[in-house]
Amino acid sequence: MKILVADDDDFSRLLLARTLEKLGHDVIAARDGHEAWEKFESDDVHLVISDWVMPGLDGLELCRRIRRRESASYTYVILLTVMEGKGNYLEGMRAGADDFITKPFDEEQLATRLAVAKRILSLQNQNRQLALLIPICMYCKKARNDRDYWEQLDRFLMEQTEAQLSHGICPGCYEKYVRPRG
Amino acid sequence: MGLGPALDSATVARLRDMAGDEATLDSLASTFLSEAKRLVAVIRNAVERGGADDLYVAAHTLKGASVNLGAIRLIDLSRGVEQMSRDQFVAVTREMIEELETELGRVESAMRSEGLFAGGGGAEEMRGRQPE
Repeated sequence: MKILVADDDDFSRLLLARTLEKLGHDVIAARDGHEAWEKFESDDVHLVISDWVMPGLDGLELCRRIRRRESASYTYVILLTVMEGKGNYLEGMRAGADDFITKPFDEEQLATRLAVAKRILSLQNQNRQLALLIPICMYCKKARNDRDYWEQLDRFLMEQTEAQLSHGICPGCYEKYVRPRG
Repeated sequence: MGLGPALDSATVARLRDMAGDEATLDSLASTFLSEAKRLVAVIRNAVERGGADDLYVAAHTLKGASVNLGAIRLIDLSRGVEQMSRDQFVAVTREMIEELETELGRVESAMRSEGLFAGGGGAEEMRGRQPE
């Protein structure tokens, strides 16, 4: 996975980056929240591992920005911090984090949690692809729904997606169906 | 002095294992030392001119770095500065800063004893400070 690491502590950032590279991931490193946000916007990142307390933009605000941003793909966010306790955990998760790990991290546990992240990201990608794959009749253009019924495409789209259809008449159909009667 | 070991042996063993080779271990150890020295200087500077925000972030960051290295007493000392910097009514004293600097010297000495620096050398010596 391509992982963005944000930590203002050079040692912790290097330690995490080396561990992730050893686990076979591509790492982009950022020295603070602002740099992380810039790199997040300019690169296609699958996962972000961020420290909480950083000068300027902190890990929680970085997390909120990532969640507010309209994006074609989901980004998994892990907070890696020395902030302990239930209150901090809840605050971090409510800011939009998917996971919360306290320092010092254990390499095996980190690898396992990254495997969970990869599973969730791949499920989301599968869902997106399934949503985009519509079985359609090549002659009448009816679509087959999940109950194995063939139905008009407009009805299918309204049932299966959140799309709202606005019916009108295209110029070709106007000439063919409407004008002759007028 | 009865201060106990400067480094947690299990955390150091994990760091050594993660690094895998001497060059990576040296790079990590040198990075810790230069970062810790920088942060202690930021803390001293913030205390001398009363910059509460810098003080909190620097003390917190030093705590995080110390946790990752397993620098047991440095974690407690930086946590103390961090907590006091959040309380506007409690001033961080110069004695606390000096204690931090002394402990960092002790940590550096322990890092050398543990062979974390390539060839037993590594980063520059703490200026004028002898480990206890």
